[in-house]
Amino acid sequence: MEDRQIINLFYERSEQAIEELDRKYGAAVRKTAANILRRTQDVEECTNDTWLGVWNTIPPQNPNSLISYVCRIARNLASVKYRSSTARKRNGQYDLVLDELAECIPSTADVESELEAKELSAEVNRFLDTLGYEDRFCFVRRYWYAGNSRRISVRLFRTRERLYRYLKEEGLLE
Amino acid sequence: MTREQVWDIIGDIDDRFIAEAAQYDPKQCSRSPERIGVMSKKRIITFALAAALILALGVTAYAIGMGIHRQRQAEMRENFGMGGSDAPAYQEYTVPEENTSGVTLLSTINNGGNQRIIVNVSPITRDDLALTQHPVMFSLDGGQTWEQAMTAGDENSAYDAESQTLTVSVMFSTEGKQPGEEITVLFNVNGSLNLGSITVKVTDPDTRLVRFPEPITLTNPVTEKPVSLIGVELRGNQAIWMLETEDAAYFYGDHSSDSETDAKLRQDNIVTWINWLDEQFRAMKLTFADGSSCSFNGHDFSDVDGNLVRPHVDYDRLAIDVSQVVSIEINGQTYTIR
Repeated sequence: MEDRQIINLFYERSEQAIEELDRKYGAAVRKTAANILRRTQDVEECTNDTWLGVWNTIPPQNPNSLISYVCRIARNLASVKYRSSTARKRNGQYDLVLDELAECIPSTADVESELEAKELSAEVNRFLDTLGYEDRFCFVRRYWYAGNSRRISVRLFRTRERLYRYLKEEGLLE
Repeated sequence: MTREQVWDIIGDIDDRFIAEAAQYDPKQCSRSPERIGVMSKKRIITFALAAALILALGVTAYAIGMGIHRQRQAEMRENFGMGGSDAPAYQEYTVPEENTSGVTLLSTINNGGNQRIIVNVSPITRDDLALTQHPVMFSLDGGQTWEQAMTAGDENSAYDAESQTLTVSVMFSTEGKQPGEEITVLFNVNGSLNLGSITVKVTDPDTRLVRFPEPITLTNPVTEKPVSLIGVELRGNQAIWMLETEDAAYFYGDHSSDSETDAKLRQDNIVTWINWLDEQFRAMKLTFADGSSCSFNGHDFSDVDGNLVRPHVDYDRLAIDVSQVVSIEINGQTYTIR
């Protein structure tokens, strides 16, 4: 079913909307949550909470990209659950993902205001536009979706270096 | 920059990038103009020479002369870091030389609590993959519960369009099962087309318990109290370390009634503790009887029983032969084991 038809089902408050959304993007949402959370039970809870989140926000929201919309909700919910979990349930791999990127953007670029964070986000978006498809795919899979792949580590290392140089050239790093 | 700041900055990237990365599209690679545009003449020549050399050496034999099953076994062995190493917990099966449809068992590994099998399934169409990255479902012993099999890599590496074969990984619990016991695994595509089944025998988990004659004392980076490393259970594909710490309840217990300030402080301390544990594991090394060595990745999770914390830590390869480990290096000191 097309995304537009699924959104229409949400606007009609039809429960079929959730079924169709799960059928089309269930795997992507579960994968997004599973990259951050460790336990299957937590992933399932996060997935169900995501469907509830979509149900509660469409309408009034009318997203242009449905997959980005649901994955964003799943990522945020998974993050909240992750931050509230004890060490037993934590996924060390996920901290590693964030640390990799934190190393690339040194502390001299600490963002003190929301405005500075927005500016840095905008620069990262512009940087992503300069990358070829594969480099961009690997970067977003790793740092937005928190994916794990040994095969792409060298490529990512080079992309992180490029990001560092890019931010430096743009005057965002000392 | 803190993790939270990194999270927020990356969280704000454009929808188009998120949608684009939700599913790998190999067609996009060939379309990318800058890939050709920025390649210098020298680089093109280097690429051409490298390609000619590879062909001359016959390295791509498996890509052009080998069936998809053997090809995937070779690739998996390489990806898992298994090249040249012999690990009883990792087993490869004899596969047909030609491409076949249905389900073909490639390899298996038992880690003591779970068994993972790698299989080729066919036919899988591009339409199946367009729906989801993980279109293959499996059920065990004729059960009605279907679970998602994980596609082993991205579409580019796990899917062979010519034979319509997808390589997937399935993990199931071996709790209560003995080595040699048979399990039937059924497969389908997106819940509809039945692909067939395979019967797999539970393999030996291959474990070895090592207890240090004297505990190795480390220092908790948060409380500065001693942490005693008392031993390690070496499993075929994972090591489970045994640490005794008075602070286990603080890090792993339920503190849901904490005040907001205490909860925040504890969260920060948990991160310090986890990172410190990972640093310790990454600095450790196993040495084998033939003189080769293996290191560790960060830990996955921990079992906790009172003051005993058991972090599960992956090796830098899929599996090892635990019987061949002769020493462990910890904090620059080498401990010989028997």
